[in-house]
Amino acid sequence: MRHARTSRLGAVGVPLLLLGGCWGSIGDPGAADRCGEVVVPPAKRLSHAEYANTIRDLFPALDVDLPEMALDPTPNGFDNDADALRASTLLVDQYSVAATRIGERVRQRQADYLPGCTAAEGSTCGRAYIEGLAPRAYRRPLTAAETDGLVAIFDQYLAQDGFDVALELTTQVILQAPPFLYRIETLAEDGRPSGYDVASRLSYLLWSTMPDAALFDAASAGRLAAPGDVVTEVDRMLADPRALDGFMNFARQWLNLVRLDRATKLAADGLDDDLRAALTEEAQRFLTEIIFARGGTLDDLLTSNRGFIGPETAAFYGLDAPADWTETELPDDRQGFLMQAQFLTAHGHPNNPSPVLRGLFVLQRLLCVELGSPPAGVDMSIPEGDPDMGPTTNRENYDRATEGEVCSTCHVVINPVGFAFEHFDTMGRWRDQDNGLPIDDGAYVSGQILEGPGALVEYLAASEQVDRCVTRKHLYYALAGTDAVDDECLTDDVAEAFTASGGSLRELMRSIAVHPRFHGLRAEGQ
Amino acid sequence: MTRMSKSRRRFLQALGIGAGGLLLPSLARKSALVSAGPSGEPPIRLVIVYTEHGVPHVNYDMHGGRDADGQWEYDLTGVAEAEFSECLRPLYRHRNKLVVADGLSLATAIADPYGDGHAKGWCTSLTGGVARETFEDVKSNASHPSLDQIVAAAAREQDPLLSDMVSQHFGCYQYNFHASLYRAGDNGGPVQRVPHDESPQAVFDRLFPNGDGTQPPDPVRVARADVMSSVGDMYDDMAPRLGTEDRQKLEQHRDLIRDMESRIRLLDGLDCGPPTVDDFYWGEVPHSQRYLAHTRSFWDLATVAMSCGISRVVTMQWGQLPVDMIGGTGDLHHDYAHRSAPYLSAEPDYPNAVQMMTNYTAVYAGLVAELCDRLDAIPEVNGTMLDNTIVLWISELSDGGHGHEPVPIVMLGGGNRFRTGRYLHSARDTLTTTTASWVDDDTLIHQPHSHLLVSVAQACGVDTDVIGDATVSPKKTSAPDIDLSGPLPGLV
Repeated sequence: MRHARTSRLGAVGVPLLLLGGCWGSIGDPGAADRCGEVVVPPAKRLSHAEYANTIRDLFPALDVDLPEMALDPTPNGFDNDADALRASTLLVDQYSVAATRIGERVRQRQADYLPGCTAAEGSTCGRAYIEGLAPRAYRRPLTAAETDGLVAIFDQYLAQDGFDVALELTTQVILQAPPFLYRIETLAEDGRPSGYDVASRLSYLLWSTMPDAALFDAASAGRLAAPGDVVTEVDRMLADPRALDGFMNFARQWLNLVRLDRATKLAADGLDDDLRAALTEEAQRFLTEIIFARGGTLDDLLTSNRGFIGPETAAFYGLDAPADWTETELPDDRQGFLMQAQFLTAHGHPNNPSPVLRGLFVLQRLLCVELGSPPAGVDMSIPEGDPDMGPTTNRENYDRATEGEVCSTCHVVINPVGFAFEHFDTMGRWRDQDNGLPIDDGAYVSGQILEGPGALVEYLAASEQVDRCVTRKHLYYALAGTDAVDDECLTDDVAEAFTASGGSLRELMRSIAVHPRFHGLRAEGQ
Repeated sequence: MTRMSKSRRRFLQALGIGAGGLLLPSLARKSALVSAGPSGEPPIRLVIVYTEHGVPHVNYDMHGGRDADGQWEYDLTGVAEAEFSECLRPLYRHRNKLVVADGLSLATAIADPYGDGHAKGWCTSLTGGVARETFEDVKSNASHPSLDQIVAAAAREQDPLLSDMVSQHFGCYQYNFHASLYRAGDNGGPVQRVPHDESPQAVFDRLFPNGDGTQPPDPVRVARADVMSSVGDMYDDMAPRLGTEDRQKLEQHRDLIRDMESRIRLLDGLDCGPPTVDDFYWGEVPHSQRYLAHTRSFWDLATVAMSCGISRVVTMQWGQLPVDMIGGTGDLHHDYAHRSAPYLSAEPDYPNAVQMMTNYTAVYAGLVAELCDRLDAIPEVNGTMLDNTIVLWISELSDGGHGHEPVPIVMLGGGNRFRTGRYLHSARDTLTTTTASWVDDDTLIHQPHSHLLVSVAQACGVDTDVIGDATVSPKKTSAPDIDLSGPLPGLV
């Protein structure tokens, strides 16, 4: 059931300026001015996830072990920022290693990857291989000079070392070439992006991978030249199972699922590799099967009482362990992602659950509230009880530790959000008491007093500020951190469509993909 | 010769080197790669060893009753082993080549009162610059290149034969945010984290592109440099057709490809004995056996790379020491490092936390000593390789309390540039650089560590008087700026 949307501005709220729709810009002569000019996006290196998916689709069923890649910076929490994705000595080396391994596998399984020819045909087969592979790898047709250059490389090694070596080395060259590793766009003379560039924009947003044959065909046939063409393709792509990859690549980063890898607990809590994997699986199944596959909404993500439990995670919810992963209705005290074990465990310290980490997550990732860093020299020890004061609750300990003037400036905002989750211990298990004392899970956010986590998630689910924040997060991801992120008109349009759809996360992807500011196309006459 | 390449636990037996034996790489070369100094002496190398959380000073300092705020030094060579502090005792056997540089501050970290203390320390300890707040809303980037970058760049300038492997960056358990080193970007680009390699096997494969010599030449491997050349040409063709920013991005990539090409051609001409590499289990959860195996493999690889003239600079970042290595349980960072903060000395768990962090520091001291063993076992014309290598061990913090003075700094080797065998203590005589309202203007801090960075850079042949910021302002507005230029007095 969809919650009524409200816009509540409070002490920590980012003012909402609902500027009204400049949506529906197709055919609107003022649209370009309001939502920014079409510009050539910067050359953007594939993120590591995009690279792996692209290799998967370029060489189906290749079964190759790719090397670990040097971690990229993640400004604003996303790994695809165009400006941050630079080459490094280590990465260039790792691309070479990956290309070497792929080339070797292609040579070993050449019957599967040569386009209906054999090694015995020599140079002719080499050219056919290049003409089949390279346009897909570059995601556009090659110029004659580019093709001839690759064929010359192939022929040189063919003469020197034979067909197999030529095949392997030419594959290596293609996989390290700039048009493969980078998405480099150019505008046509009429200021429009090419159909091939539009295809890549759509495929990397919606699928996190290269365009498929249908997209290439559409681009080749001039059927990716107008906004209406994009709508057709977007609807097809969102119905394809690969849309799940696109959604999860965003959601995994937005919801910071990897934080669990860094969480440490006391030995008694048993957070080992297996349990980490199980908790991650739990969250992924919730997001993929309950939320995305069923056209779920932000509301569902925040308040659904459905979840998956596995043999190792059922105990977190006081449920009997099933033999395998099972979808179930979770107990009444659980609603949505924020009350599931993965999130709660990832945002807890060894000795106590952390209202600070949990509160910061809500503020920064759901409400887009920016907070500064703690000052130097302050005691950042994890709060604990003071033996001289007798038994105290975790809430009291955090209040006491952050009550000083320097700390309270921010913690008066952070802590009351995180306190909503005080009934969940550091492993996300329900607790009736804390240190033998009653638990106060009252919360305060944006000027609202909220009783417990249920009230908090209901509030968040109904908040237009959350809609707009999630829109901003997805736009940042979709636009790879380029200047268009600051386009308020674009944000207004997408947020409005998102809200109008009842908060459908699939519709959020769609409304970004079909927006002229994203795909860069204008209707005829504009 | 056994190679279990399909196993995650791999052992590559070195050519002509017995398993478990001390590494003594061949110094024979097909081509002269090392540029000797003007009188034929070996070049100075630099190894930076980086650990987290500072040290527990009560079991680290060796003041012997001397003034904790004063300027003094004493000779370590005649000190008995029992007189070495518990933290530093594993270095005793190298005391003649040791300099403990105590009493220095990270004045450029103190200058900024806001932000996470760890992150500010990471940013400033090797750059001498004030941190910038850019990524992920924390102080996550330095505003200047780091010492290792500066030394590596100077080495390449002096010796064009050196390849992109002039500097190597290793790490154990650095997959997360902790303890990364930072630098300004190349070619005017945005600041970046320094990528580091966590797989000894990957480093081995780069250093020894033709494997361990047991297999006949593979035409695909032989062609690697030519492949990189072809790829580089493609970047050359494309870059001029792009706008300024995109062109810079691709030219940066192109330059790295050219670097790699020249490195492969150079390595093809070398005849260095490959070490044994234990790549062990590749997982993300701390594991003590893997931690030790990787560290020792990295030491072997570093020793080979430097002795064969491939590398001049090595950095080793250690993070997340498995807690069982210090006899503890739970979370090392929060259960022990934080709890060892001096301001928590009245807490009941403080003594145990201090002991655990003492164990922690001693583990690292032992591993640093193992590196020195390797370097000291290789003779060079004017002593041993250790005499021509500066091993600089530094942390981002003073102690578990997140302060930035005194920062623990230990130097080993480099005896052909520094007077070693000494405990050197600098005075607390510098006006505080913080802007925090709650700190008195006349508060004094220890001398800035920037001077030590300058000393090391100069010893490595860098012609500079400044590393990072040249000055920093004291909180006291009526006082002149604090000069960060020039070497540390008394070190040479």
